[in-house]
Amino acid sequence: MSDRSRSTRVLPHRPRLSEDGMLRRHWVDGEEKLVLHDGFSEEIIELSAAQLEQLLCCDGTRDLGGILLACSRAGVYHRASDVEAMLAELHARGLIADGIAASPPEPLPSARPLHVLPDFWLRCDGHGGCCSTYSSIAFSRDDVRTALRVIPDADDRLFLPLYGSAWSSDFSVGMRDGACAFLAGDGRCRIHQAAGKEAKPRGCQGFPAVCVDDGAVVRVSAAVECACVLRSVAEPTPTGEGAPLTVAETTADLHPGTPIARLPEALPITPARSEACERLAAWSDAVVAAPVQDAVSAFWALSDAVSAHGLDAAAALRALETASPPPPGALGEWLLCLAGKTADKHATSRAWRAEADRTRRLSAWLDDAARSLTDLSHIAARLQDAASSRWQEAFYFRSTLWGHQLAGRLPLAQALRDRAVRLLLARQCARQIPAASAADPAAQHPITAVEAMMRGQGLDGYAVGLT
Amino acid sequence: MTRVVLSENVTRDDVDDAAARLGWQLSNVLPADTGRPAQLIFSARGRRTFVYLVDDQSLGVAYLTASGDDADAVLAAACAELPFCAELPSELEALFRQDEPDADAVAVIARGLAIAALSAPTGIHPAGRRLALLQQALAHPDPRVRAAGIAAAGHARWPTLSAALEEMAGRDPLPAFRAAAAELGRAMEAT
Repeated sequence: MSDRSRSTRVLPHRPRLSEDGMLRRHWVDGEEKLVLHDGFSEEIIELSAAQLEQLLCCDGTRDLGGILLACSRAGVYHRASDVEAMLAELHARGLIADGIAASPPEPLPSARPLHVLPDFWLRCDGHGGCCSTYSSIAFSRDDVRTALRVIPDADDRLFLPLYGSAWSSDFSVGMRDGACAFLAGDGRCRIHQAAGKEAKPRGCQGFPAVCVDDGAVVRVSAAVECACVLRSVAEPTPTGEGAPLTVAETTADLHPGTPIARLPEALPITPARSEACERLAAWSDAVVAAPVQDAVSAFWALSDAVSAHGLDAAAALRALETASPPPPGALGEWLLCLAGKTADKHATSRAWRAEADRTRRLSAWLDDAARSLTDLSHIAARLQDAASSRWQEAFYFRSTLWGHQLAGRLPLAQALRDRAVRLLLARQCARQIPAASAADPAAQHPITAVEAMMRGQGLDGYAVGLT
Repeated sequence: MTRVVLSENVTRDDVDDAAARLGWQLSNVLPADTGRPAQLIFSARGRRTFVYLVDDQSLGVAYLTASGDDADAVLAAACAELPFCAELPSELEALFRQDEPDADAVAVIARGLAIAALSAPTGIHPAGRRLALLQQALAHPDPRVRAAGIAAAGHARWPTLSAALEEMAGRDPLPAFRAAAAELGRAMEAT
């Protein structure tokens, strides 16, 4: 990743857009928009076609003279000063790196066993909810070649580097009003329709599976980011229907390039303390086996237990036995930060996304709900909410913890609090569904909207630094 | 080779804008190196002609030159788009009369000598004012002016400078200047 310190330093000798910068081609209400997502600040920078091509000439192998020549060859050179000024501005934002990107990490040892979330079979409704929510839908080089082969009217202009500006092994497809360019009007995937499921990008084939390597096995759980996940739980199918999250038995059976997160050897538990990641599996297994009446209370109680006792399973179980809703005031700072983040996201989405864009609709919905939760009376009411959504929350609790999904940006104690806050937001969302989202699949399962927006649109950054 | 010295206030943006209007394509970017000034090279589309923008910091000037099928026509078109030095600065003779000109005056003299050398029509051995200026520079009491004179003479290479160079090679108080003048004289004889 690039050094994020923003200063007036001299431009790097061989500049390229860093991995924090994501170039994307959107069609908004039929009009092409080229944007640069700052993955760190979540800002959107609109680009001209010439600027996009100029940035693609900055691949980390060329000095400024070479970049200008590459621009000239591409037919997008006019003034050297324009290119220099653009690079200088991006450098001031911390979005320019020097030289070529670091090599990808070492692959996992072969044949690590996969443990799949028990008792879960996914039935996808095929309506493309998951295709319309994320800023990036990743295609490998092979996925790109397949798509261009099976979709006659597709061309390679649809694809831009997934991260940065250097052409690499992963690409992001263009989006039409926030949906994948290959999503047909009926919500079906054109690639799937043309050539079968195996022709789809590997990321799409694997969704919503989350793979986490805990050092002994790779746990495969479900990201609760799509209504289909919770419908699959609500409507258990007779044997033979639905599909497990994966049929692979070891990592060697997975598609090459399947994203697998690895737990760090020293797992941050609190900002000041880490524990060996080997202890997490036993802790997780004990916690998900315990009966949980209220997931919000459970997450909050586990956070206190982890802060005090680390990955002590017995302490965690004691905490769950006596778990009760936290005092509303304890969530105040968290919910204020969340409301700030949702407000920013809503404002940004409204500025350039089409009204029909699902991200714009969901950002408005979540922002309304988050603002309501800055009122202590609403927090108190949501903490006491009835059990109608409890089965959804229970599955969320199980999949998230069993699947080690909390090991990431935040120490575990903070991540547990974060998940309590997300559930609270989902409860509030259920209370105030805007007309524009009434027909959305997430209307019956708001936690899926919350989760998708948290990971897919960067709302999860609200919790960084909170305790 | 015809050279067009650009006016002092011409910027890189001005050149890029003119290149776009004239349909030139940027073809190479050469940074300054030992003994070589920075250059941009443009190709004039469909003309098999290359235009060179030379930014010579040692002379204090930027100039255009061209090679290829339509070099003269391309340069003429460039002159219609970019301000260039059509005449020598009028104040040069006055500045030359100073035995110890200040730094600003030396810069003006150096630039004036470079213009005199670079903008002379090719194939003609200049006489008159251009020749007189370079001859005076090579014999000037101030070594900075003499240095500018040698640099300009190296670009001019007029046979009519031979006598002045020979005088410098034999009589200049500085050994380095005597050697430079002698070497330039030999190079001119060889071509």
